Amino acid sequence: MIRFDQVSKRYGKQTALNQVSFTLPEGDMAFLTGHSGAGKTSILRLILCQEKANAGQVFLGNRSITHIKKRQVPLLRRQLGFIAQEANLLEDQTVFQNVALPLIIDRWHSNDLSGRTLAALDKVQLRHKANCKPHELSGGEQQRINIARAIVHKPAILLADEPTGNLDPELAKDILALFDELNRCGMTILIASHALDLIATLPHRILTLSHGQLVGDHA
Amino acid sequence: MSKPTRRQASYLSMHARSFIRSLGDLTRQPIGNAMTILVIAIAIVLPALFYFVGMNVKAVADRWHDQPQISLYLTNHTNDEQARQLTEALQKRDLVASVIYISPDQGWEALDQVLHLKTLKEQLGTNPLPGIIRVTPRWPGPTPEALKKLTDQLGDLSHVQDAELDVGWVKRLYYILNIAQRLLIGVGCLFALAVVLIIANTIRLSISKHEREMAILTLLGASKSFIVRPFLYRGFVYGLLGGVLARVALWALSNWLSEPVQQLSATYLSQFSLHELDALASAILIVGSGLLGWVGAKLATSTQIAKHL
Ligand SMILES: Nc1ncnc2c1ncn2[C@@H]1O[C@H](COP(=O)(O)OP(=O)(O)O)[C@@H](O)[C@H]1O
Ligand SMILES: [Mg+2]
Repeated sequence: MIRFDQVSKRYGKQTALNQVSFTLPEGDMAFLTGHSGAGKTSILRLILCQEKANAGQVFLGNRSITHIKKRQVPLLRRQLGFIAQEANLLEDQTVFQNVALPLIIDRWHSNDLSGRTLAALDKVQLRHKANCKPHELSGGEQQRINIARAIVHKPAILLADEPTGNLDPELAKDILALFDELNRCGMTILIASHALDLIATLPHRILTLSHGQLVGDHA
Repeated sequence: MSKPTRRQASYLSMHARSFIRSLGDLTRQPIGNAMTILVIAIAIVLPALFYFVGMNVKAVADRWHDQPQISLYLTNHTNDEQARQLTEALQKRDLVASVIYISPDQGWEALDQVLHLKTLKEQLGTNPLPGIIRVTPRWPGPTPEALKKLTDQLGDLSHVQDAELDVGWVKRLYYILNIAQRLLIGVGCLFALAVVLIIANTIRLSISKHEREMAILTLLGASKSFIVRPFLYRGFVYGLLGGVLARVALWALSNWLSEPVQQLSATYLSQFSLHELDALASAILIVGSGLLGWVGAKLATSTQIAKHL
């Protein structure tokens, strides 16, 4: 469960979020939408503890993460899956190594690690690319690898920032279908996206932001 | 999140993997890394060379075994019996290694053998030489100051007219070794600092090249120690390899020098061969330089990485 309670976030004088409140129950999937600069990324950054709220509280499950200690942040992030807006695979490592990173960070034994990594690659249908380097993949394939890496450790919550940003509509649809499938397996998913036309076709909740305020919440 | 029960790899295997990986990483930029290691090796070889030379000078000095001596000139009225009693008493003193009494007659004989003075004694009618007791203090051990004090004490004994310490060179060697030792420590510290700074700078550059990677890892929940560890190992490996190279250079140098040194020593001493660094000194050199590398990396990471986390 993700819960925002009267959360405000400012960068200097720039207000990014203004008293935002919403709850995303466990197992639900929702889209965050709004114009560029509306505050979508800021919401994800607060959940990831990349930023601290200036006012209000952010909860993950029943736990407030607003005043979490710095050294507890890594542990918290290991329980989340995150797909960033920009490409962020390690270029000098293979696809397999990239996908295995969350498990390596969590110090998994290598036997368990490779099974889980290959399973995640299966999920995005890219097992055959396991030994490629990221630059040998297309944009759509890279994005699927990003997803595989975000879900390899089976996080309870998955966050994605513009996951279909640079992809053509066909690929974008495939990716969204993949999220849909993950959600049906019980994952709580929050996706920031300004591609309204694409989102509108899916039967999921849509939270609309405008200038840092939550202006719409459609189921 | 479901987890297999014993999922965590041991710390030991994790560190071993980091270490092996950082060795492998070095092969990615062989030329740059070789240069870094070479510079480190040079910085380590210089003070080590100092130590090596000092060690051998000391070995030579020990061989010559030139003892300091205290000569006690006895008063004219002292007879042989009194002199023998004094000799025995001196023998029991703490700082004294050995004592020899040279009677006036023995003294004259020795002098006569060299200078042929027969006629002089006849002219004088009497032997003008005093009896002498030669005291050899324990050495090495007492400082020149302690020897001086001993000499003064012996000079105050009855039957002793005068006491003389033959100390010039002792003092000099003592102070030279003192200077050499301080110089060695000073130079060693400077070069150790140089090694730390060289490695810190190399690691700093390497960190700035890996900024994107660190940002990614941080977002995936990597702890600070996870991110810092490879850099620390890299610094350690730089230092370690620099130390190994320095040891090899030292070995080559001493091999190269050993023949001329033997030729030289043949003209002085029976035989003297260069003392090599022993296993312990080599281990200290290599592991120590590895630790310097670790310190350098620690310095770089503590100033550079904090801003990412
Ligand atoms: N690091 C930052 N420093 C200053 N202003 C920022 C920063 N990040 C975001 N902002 C500002 O906060 C507002 C919300 O940004 P963001 O959450 O990235 O919006 P979105 O993801 O919806 O495009 C924008 O006006 C943006 O300019
Ligand atoms: Mg954004």
